[in-house]
Amino acid sequence: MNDARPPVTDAELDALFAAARSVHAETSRLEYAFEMRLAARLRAESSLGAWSWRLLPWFAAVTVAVSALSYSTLFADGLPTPNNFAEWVLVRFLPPV
Amino acid sequence: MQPPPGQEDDTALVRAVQGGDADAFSELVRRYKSRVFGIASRFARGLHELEDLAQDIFLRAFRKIGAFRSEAPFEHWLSTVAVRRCYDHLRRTKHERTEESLEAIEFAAADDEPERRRAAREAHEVVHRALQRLPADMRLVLTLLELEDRSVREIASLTGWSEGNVKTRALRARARLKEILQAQRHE
Repeated sequence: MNDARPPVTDAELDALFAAARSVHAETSRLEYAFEMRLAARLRAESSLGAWSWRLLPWFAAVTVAVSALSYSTLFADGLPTPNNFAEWVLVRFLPPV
Repeated sequence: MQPPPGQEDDTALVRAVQGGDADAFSELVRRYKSRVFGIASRFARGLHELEDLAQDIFLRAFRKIGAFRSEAPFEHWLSTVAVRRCYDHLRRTKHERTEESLEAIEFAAADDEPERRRAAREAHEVVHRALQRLPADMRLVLTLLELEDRSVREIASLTGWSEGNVKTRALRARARLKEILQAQRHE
């Protein structure tokens, strides 16, 4: 089926843009106290960042403690103590024969 | 040459922010929030998205302000941050469907005459709907060129694309937009 309607011309497009250009968003409601909301978000993000760095040594200490505990309890049932890491992996992860 | 009004103060404020003065940053936000909201409103799909986008732009500016060297006016640097953040936003939300519940951004025409104001709002609605169907780069370049009335050189500086690249994208975008508008006439 043939389309009888003419294509959109450059002049029409320019006229549309020219009319649309004079239209602006009404943002005064959003702009009200925007600085305060932004400052609150900045504070929240920076304190979260600071806390995560402060807690890092504690997380590391807990990880080491849990690993040491798991290592010491693993051989409490009489299994031979491994001499190196490869042996430890074999004992820890391979099913008993 | 005398610096444009406000620029000297901006530079002093930027130096204060770089030195850790958060209040100075609040002052910069107060000065330029209208400008940033104006840019972001061309790309946000609702009021909440507009608020988030504007906050993200200023947060990004705050984090990067240490790299600002005062070679260009602060407003231009901030516009670059805003345009690039809006481009990221367009690319990220390209395939997302708009929620019907989004609270719409209100647009107003500057004209005093009611009939012309109504026509301008209709034109804006038609253009906005058609632009939404363009790929992110085409939408960005046409918005900056035709709605924000920026030059090719300015767009190249804001986006980091070459001037030739901006011209090519703009030509392709216009052709594509005409096809979309033509199809909309049929709907």
